[in-house]
Amino acid sequence: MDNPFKKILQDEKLPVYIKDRVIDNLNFIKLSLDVSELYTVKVPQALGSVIGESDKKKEQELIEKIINAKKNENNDE
Amino acid sequence: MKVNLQNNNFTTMTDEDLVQMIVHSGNTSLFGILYDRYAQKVYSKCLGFAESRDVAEDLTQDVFVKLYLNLKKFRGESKFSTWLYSFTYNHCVNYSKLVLKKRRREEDLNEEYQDLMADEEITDEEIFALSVGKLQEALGQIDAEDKIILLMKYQDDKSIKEIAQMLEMGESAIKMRLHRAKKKIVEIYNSL
Repeated sequence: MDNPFKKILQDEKLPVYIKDRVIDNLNFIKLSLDVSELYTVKVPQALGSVIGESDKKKEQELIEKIINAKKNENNDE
Repeated sequence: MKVNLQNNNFTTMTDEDLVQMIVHSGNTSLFGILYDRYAQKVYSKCLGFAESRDVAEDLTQDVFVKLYLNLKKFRGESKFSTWLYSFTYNHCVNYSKLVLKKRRREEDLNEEYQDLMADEEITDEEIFALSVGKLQEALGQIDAEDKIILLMKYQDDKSIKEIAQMLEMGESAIKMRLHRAKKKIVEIYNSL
């Protein structure tokens, strides 16, 4: 005997506006993820590299000062 | 990334290739193509689990939002349509768990079960003898919790054990609910 449950067809149409709701939701989620990535990953990275560069500059200046000081000492002798 | 859907062959791409592109680009317009291909099928499945059209629409929307966020989990081991079917099914089953939880009274049910089992059981032959049109009408009138169990058993061919595991309920509770749902559907069917 055939199972009538298998022949049940859901012929109701999905309203068109659901697609807009889905895509709007996804765009909002994407924006939220991008913004949170910006503040948690990108900004700290940028700050890290800026601070790192200024540290390198200072380090270089210090090394140069020491070298110059030693040169001056040698010249005085 | 803006995508010109007309100038590219995105609409003729296979599901699997499209999924790859969406995962890499995150493009929601491309996801729209996937939505167009499967929205009606997902909605039809959700209708079986929902108590109203509004709920089925919300379930469909949730499935697609969740799908977008979980697309990278699709590894291509099966066809995308098969994977999406079980993804949708799991989502609907999880929703059903909430519906059934609201009415769950295991202790009372066990007592009720003893009383109900004393009634004569409706056989599968009796169920299979129902006509499709009237059965569909009767399913539209029955409670959501009864409809879910009937559809899982007779439309999706799930065993009592599988239904019990999916809905996180005891097998005896499922047997009792199925027994009651069969009685109810036949009652409603005969009253039409």
